[in-house]
Amino acid sequence: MAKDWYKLDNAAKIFPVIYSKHDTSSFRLSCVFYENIQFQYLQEALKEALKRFPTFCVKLKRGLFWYYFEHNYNEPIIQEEKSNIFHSVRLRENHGFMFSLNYYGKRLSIEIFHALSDGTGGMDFFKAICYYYLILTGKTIENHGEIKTNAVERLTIETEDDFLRNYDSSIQKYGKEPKAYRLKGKMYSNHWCGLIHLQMNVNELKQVAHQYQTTITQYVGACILYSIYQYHLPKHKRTKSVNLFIPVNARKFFDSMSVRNFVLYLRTHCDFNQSNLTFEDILNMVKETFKEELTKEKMQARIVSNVSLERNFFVRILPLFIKKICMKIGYKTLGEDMNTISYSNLGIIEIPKDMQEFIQRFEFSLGSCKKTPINVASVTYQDRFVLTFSSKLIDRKLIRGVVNKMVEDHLSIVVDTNDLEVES
Amino acid sequence: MKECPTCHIKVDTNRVTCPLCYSVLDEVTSHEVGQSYPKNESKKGRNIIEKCFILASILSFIGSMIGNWITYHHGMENFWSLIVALGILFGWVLAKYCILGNGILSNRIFSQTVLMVILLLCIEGFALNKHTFWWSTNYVIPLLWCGVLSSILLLTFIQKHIFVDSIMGLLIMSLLGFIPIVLHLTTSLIPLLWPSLTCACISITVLCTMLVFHFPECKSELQKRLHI
Repeated sequence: MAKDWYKLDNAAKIFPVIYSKHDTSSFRLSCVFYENIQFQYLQEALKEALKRFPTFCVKLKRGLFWYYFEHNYNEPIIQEEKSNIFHSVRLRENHGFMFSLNYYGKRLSIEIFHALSDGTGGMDFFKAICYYYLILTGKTIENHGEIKTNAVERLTIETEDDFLRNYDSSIQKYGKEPKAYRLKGKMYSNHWCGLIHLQMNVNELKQVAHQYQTTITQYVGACILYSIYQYHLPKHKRTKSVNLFIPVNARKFFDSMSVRNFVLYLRTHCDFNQSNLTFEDILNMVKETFKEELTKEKMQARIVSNVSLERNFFVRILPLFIKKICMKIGYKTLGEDMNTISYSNLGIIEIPKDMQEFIQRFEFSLGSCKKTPINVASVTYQDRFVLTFSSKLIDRKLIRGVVNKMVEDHLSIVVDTNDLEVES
Repeated sequence: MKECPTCHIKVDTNRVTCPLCYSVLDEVTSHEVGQSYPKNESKKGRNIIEKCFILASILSFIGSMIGNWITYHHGMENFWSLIVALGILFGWVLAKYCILGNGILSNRIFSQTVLMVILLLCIEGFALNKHTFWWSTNYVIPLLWCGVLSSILLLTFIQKHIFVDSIMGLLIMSLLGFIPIVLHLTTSLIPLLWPSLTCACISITVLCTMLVFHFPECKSELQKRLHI
């Protein structure tokens, strides 16, 4: 039987505190089918998926010392997608559910509040919804464990806080990091978020990355940084560090099956205070960071930095309203100010072969906020790599810079957007 | 599918211009593109009825303030305009939060009751302070408290999850229900005994019912709320 309530995991604790209209702390997963969505099956599909993923069937409650999740007995509302992306997760609406399932034409999308899960856990849940939806529309699908359905046992370790499980007080905390240069420009009104999808062939991309003797994540990361260097960073601001925040799936480093948050990160601190930097120079900076930071020891140090504060007795006994003030200040100075831009690569999406004939592509995007107005995310499904920019800035120089570099490297790109400029 | 002659990318939307450089796109294939995102809707403002109510509220408040100021030195030396202001505020909270809001039902009732108590105290304390007998603290507040406590308790028997949502509220309301009797015993603010005693009795009944019928839920609720 599912638990009646859950403590928030270590990474989740910050999100209810910083949630606002400007920063909904959510991410979005979409699946584009070959046929139009038959919305009458979605409610039932979601109900089935929620049985398998009870940590998503919760509402946020306030305790005296911490927030917690309590089982939600209501039914979530499924709606046709609205134009304003990343604003469908409302903590006090949708019967208290912290995700929002929407459909539009052939696209089924879910926006998930980050306190519930990270991209990997969210994708497991979303794949289960898509699976049940297709089953309910009469499709026959043989699942060989790619999808966590109700037929696959639910394990207690899936709902555990793996940050606490892998905490080792003997390891030294991660050190301080420099403040980051912030992208600035005119923003869209009404908290609008522009989505720009760049679709390309993953094999072509792999080939290009191999030519540079690097991985896809490093290559794309370098393209983003190169574009910032070329088009966004004024010469007089080149003294500031440009920090690319890259979430890392910690399940790969620590034996974990969690469907909750278990994501760590690395930051590339690029010193652009040199003239005539080439793409290769920047790529080398990125490669160097990955080499140094992407180790189990460094990841463990990050866990220790995050968890040690939560385990401090004096922090624990502070009433929630005081904690909230401290956490907001801490996040503004130690979290938000450290990032120029984020890039998250969710990797390859694996689904049963029978499902593949009904699904064109998956998309993944990160919400952006005032301090990091552009964020980038990518996902690979079959031979298609979809890179999505979510931007609050009207200016698209940075995206053009990335596209120019990729086109220069002979990648053929198909662009799709949510087209605000046409209307305004 | 269209192509941008400047960026050398294909564009899979119905746009005429490139979404990156705004150059006019060339038509490459006649492949039909469905609109993949809904059109941008202009943000809906408040409706006309709500606007009328806002205007009426503002005008009533300003009017009563002016009236209060004019009549203050002509035999009405009290702040009666506060009653109007609080009445307006109460009306708005009642409409927007309690009736039209979508929060937990019991929480909405609790907060509305608390606001009502504040309103009553203000009416007596600030505006009608010449009266010696406090009718609200003697009659209205204890009896209102009794009504709210018993109705929430009845509601919780209908559905279990209403109870789970209301435990903390019921607990706090029950404890606050002892205030009138304490004030009766220790001060001269509440000379009348029976409404305060009834309120205390209802509070005890609610607390006992919670413990007898819902002990595991109460224990679990306290564990959740107080976990460190």
